[in-house]
Amino acid sequence: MRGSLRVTFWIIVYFLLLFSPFIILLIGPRPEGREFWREFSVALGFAGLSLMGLQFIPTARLPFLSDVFPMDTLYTFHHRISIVSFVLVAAHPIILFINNPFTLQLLNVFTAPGRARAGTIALLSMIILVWTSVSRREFKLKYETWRGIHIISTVLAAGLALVHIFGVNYYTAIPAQRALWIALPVLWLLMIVYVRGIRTLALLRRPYQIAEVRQERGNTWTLALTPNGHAGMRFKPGQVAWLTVQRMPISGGEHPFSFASSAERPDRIEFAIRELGDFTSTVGRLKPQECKPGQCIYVDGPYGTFDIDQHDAPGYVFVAGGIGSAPIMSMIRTLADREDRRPLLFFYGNRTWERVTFREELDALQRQLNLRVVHVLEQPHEGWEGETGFMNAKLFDRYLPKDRKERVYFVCGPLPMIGAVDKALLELQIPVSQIETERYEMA
Amino acid sequence: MQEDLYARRILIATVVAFVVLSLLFAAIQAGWL
Repeated sequence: MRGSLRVTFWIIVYFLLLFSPFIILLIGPRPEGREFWREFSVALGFAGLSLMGLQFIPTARLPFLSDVFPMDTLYTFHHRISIVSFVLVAAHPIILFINNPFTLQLLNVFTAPGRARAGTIALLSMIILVWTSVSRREFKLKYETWRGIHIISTVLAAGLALVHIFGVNYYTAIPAQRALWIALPVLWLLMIVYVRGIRTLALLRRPYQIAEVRQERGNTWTLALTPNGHAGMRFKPGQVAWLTVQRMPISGGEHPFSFASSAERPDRIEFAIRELGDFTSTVGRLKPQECKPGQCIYVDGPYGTFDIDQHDAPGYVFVAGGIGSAPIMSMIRTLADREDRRPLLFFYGNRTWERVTFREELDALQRQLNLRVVHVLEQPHEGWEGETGFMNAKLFDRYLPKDRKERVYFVCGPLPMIGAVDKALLELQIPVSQIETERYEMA
Repeated sequence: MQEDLYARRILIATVVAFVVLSLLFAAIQAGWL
């Protein structure tokens, strides 16, 4: 696997960072008269906090990580590990209360000492943080609102957890221990400086303007952008970028989208955006215009490893559901511009024939490239003779060539589809290393 | 997909390691080890 050495390196760094608090905490003098369960609960609290402290990193879009790990993997990891860190932190007071019910009094924010109040509010902030993230869609929270809550509750939880630790003052005795608890907020501060400062400035220097807003089939819009005062952006076909549309990048209203255009045309980049949520529903109202202050588009990217250039193969198989076709179109358009003759097979799932985005262009590309598109419709119209239903092993088996194990597979779409396709490909004994996936429910 | 499998294994390893380390830490601090 390409880059496997770098993957191993970062996994080792991750574990070292994660477990360093335990090593440092064990250096200090042993507190007198503390029983096992109390120490166990404290250790779980520290574990949860050190995990939480590292959660700024996977989503900070640091180039050295995003070049190695797929972006959706980083975000999924962030989601899951954050829940683990919450469970560990919550276990800290729960074990204390069970071990010594007298400590329940510490929950009374009116009578409890400041260090306990800080701990309680930190935990409440974490509950809000996790709850709003897990149930964002159920709460129908706007992305920007959720993001605001996410940032505020993160800062509150982390800051007050540190106040709690220094207030309790059991593991802050020696300089190495104090340095550990100071290093964490310094790391967070550096992340904020990088994300909100350095990267924002870099974006402001490279604005884009809207060249075209084109309606596609299936409630989808192609947003074409041209660079304003710079040479544009080099990206690999299939990568993603975060767009900030007609507002300042520091405002936080950014949204991830896959490049849909050819990587051979950096002077005009395109994104295919389906009307699925609050922001995406406004894209159709955008108008081509000059980039004036407050009216520019900022493109933070490219990111990710879901691209054909990093995965050389004798041929490719693409599998997309709905607007998961956007990065696949970038790959196919790029291969067309490069006059590539390798065999390409594209399984394209849609609800109806009318909703097949890029249908006419794909027809034309089939004549230009060594490409075969297999349309799979959930709700076929009368007279449809093509494939129907959901994608499964039997369907793939009918079309995949003999050298199927040498091909590289790119799968993009909603989570249930990706799960079903992965399962089907593994049933057909396609090696895991040949399958690249990208979920479009990323952030 | 391979990276997802790695991520899942890292997640499980993190949880197991943290619980084991916390138990060890508590045992050491309580004077059991």
